[in-house]
Amino acid sequence: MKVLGIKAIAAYVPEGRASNLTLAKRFDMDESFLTGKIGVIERAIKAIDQDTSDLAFLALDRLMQQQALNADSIQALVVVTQNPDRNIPHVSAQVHGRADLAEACVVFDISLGCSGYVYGLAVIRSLMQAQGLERGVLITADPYSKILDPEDRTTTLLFGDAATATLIDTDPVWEIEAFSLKSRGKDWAAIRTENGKFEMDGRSVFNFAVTTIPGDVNALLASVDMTPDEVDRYILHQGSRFIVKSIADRLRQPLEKFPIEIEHCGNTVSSTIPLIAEHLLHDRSARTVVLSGFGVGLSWASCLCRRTDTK
Amino acid sequence: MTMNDQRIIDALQGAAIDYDGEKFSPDLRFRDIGIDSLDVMSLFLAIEEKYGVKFAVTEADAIKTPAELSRALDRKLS
Repeated sequence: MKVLGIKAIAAYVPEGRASNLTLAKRFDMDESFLTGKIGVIERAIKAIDQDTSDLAFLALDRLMQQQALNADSIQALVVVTQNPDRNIPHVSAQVHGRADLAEACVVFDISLGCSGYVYGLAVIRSLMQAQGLERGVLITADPYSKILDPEDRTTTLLFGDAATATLIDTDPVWEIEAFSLKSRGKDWAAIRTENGKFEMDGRSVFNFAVTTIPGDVNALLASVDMTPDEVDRYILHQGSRFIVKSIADRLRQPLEKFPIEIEHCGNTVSSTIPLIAEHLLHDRSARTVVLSGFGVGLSWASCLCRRTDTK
Repeated sequence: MTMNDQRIIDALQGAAIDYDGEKFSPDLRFRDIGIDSLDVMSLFLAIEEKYGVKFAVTEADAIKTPAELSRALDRKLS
């Protein structure tokens, strides 16, 4: 069986920005708290006339141009989102049509939040292996600006809009060696929408993340006879700078191993991990990389990626 | 400051939370001794893990000072 892994990643981050510095004053919040703890100075915000499928298509279009992909060559298209343009149809169908992909292309959405990228990698890779497919694209596009309450200080300073497209094929830069996919549905209410508006119990989510993810990552590494010290980089979901640092502390690993890229775009839900991975794919010093996403569900997913020797 | 308040200081130090030691008084609000809302979450988690107790969200939201936290912990442990 041919090895399937991550070949390339492209992103679309809307040009629009909303300043947190202005909001912080209104919420009586120190700038040092904003920069040092939350880690978000400004948030990427989609244009009013853009919808989820637009962001998803623009990420795919960039990937196709970057990799000179022919539309007919894409055999699977999976979109991770919980904020589709409309309930019916699935966003992936709209993107499939706009990109003029082949009718034989397998197309569906996955409803997951911040764990969605790693879950999505597991799903598309398994699907492609089972169906004998050699080229697929995983898209993340979950613009929370559609559901945020601008008066909710616990969420409105955190989230931004973005979309990413990841090419999975048989000539990967990163192979994926192991997955851990978990859920704790009894705590679903910690992150939810009420009457169309996003609500999050920050303390429950913080406790969940810092008490669950270090153990999950350690177990994942133990399953492949590795220790945390042997990992070059950890790409964690960028819930906030504080959450990333807290998990790094509990893993007893230096913060330098944990890229943080939310300062100018915010927490972009399922897109935070691939936005960082897009850059690290080109960093040859990153030979072993752990990805870990966690959030809505509550659910969490981790995987280990290894740079292929020939790249 | 009582021995019970010392448990809060131990938890702050154990969780590597920066606070203003010169200003520290158990009856001052967390914010007034340099402990922001995210550090408060870390403090509660450190207490929960060390003493095997749980604070409900509404319960934790009502606790504003180290002394109040200490008294709430006493009630849970008694």
